[in-house]
Amino acid sequence: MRMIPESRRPTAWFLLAILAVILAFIAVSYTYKPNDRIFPLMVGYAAIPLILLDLLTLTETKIGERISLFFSAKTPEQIDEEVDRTERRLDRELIVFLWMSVLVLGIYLFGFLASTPVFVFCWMKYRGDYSIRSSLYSAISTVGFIYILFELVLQYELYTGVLFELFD
Amino acid sequence: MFESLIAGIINLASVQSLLLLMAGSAVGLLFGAIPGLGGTTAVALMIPLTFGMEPFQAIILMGGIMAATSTGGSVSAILLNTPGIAPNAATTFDGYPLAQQGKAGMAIGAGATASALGGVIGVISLVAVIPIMKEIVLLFTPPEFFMLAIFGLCAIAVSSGDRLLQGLITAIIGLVVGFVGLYDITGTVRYSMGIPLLEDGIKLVPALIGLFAISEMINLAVKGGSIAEDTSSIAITRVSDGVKSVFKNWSTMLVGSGYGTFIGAVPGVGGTVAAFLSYSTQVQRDPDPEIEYGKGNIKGVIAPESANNAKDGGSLIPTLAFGIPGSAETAVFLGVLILHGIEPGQKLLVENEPLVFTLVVALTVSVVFATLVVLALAKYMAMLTMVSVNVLIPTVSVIALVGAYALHTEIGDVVIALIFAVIGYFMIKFNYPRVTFTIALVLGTLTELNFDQSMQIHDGDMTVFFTRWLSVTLVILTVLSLCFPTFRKKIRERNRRRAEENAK
Repeated sequence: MRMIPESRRPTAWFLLAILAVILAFIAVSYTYKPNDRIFPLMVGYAAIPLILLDLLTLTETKIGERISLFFSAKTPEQIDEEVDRTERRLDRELIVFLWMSVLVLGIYLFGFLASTPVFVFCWMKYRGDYSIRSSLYSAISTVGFIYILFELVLQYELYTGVLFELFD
Repeated sequence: MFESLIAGIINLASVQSLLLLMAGSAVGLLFGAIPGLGGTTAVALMIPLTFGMEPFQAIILMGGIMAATSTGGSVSAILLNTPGIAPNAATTFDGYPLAQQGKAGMAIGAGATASALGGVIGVISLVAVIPIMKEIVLLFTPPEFFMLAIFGLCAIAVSSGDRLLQGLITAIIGLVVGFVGLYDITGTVRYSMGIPLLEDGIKLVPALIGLFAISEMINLAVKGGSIAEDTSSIAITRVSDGVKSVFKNWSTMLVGSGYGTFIGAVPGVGGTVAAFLSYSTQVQRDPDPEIEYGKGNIKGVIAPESANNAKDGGSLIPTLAFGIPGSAETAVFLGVLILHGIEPGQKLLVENEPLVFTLVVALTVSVVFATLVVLALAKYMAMLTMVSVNVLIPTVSVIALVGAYALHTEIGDVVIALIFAVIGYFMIKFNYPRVTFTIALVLGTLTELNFDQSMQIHDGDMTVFFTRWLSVTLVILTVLSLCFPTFRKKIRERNRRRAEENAK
């Protein structure tokens, strides 16, 4: 990791996570019969050198630069210059993941038609600083659209939530 | 043939038929534009409506849906960077940057016109190619299908520009994810970790919704701002500029349509591969070294859009001629034909030729109608890019999750969409192409199936991929596609150096 500049380290961790998944995949593949694992193993083993090559392109070494030039005709520095520099703070990411997870949990517990207006209203009011009236209008129109299109027109039975199903 | 064409036109020339066609086109546009729904869902959902109809009316309704879906999908691909359907994913590469530059109207105009012309070319090809199609499709055996899938994956990784290595890695990850679930050949459930939901495999629709729609919403929420990066610079340019650009770049449109028709006719490969191949070919063949793709090049919209609409005609070739569907959408359409007592194959072509031409006319009229609707409404659709993210994120996220749930009415699919949204977000963050991941996910089963069938037929002899002429051709194309960008950049550098020396 010391050979990798600080700005590229998050990418290196991402690649290491992929490598871990691939290694686990290969290990699990060996628990299957030869006919079931031959192609997955070919694919899994093909990934390892590619990931290692990609890790090398993140280092500040001659070999890393050569690999980068071969695959992209650009040096790692040139690629760095083109990277989207928008700041993505970890706390912001975690908060957004939490919002989305709460939405999915809400759908699981209370269903689509109950969770949708609450989620839209809360997002607009508390993240978007919209007025209560605007947030309410958006929440109602979104749930109305979903209800009319999916329930009435397409006649899908939208999920009503595990809690409501208990009372059915 | 001429009599059948006249019969097809007469079938369509009634108020009822035209209304059915317009309804089909409207449904196709809507389902195409809403991420996660798509033409297959639309065709499947409309089947019960056709019960009381004459066969030609059912064909008109379905033709309307199939022809309009890709056109509708291009709108959300350009405005929201979320392809309405998978074949529109390649349109996001340049369509979305154009929207960010305030040229959404131009991109939509070009996309819709390319769709219409591509669709018409696809339909003409359908008519022209039917007599000789049997021989062409029969040339493809499992080794050729396998190599075609590999070629598709590599060509798409190459189209990631300077992210070739990363594109190949994400393609492999896509294949790995595609291995999850029941393996048809041996009946073994693999990599499901004992989770019942995964035993049938990762379903494509929730995975795509997560990767493209919700991950984009997460990214917007983390970054803040609006879809158009600089709202003050947004000016909806004239849609007519987009229309004109298609005629100006007619060769791009023709090549894209050719890809769409040809790839569409290969069963199981479909419009997604056609659109991506068309895009990557356009990137590689562009004679102007200064033109950059992925940053708002109008040719990057024309190439995939002409291909993904031309594939409709192409994918109907094996469906009508041999009863082998060229795509999921045509597979469902095949069900509609059978439901109405129409048996595909030689019999259909000989005894029911007017019905085939009814479909041909319906597809042609529908694709033009859908394009006119999109062109007429493009200015209003383009305004979507000015909507604040805090209105868009909650509404799109919720509708996308309903879409993820709707196809299989399985609540677990909502969780899958969320998981793929997080994966997609990290891919955006670390600049790893989601497209190669997606296409590998789409082609994963097909690739392994054809690999195994090749091994079974040829007693495990791997040289089979290098001894058949069509397979070898595909191997050579694969290698060339991987090497071409490097060689081309070197040639460009050499030319630039020479030009500099000459200038001195």
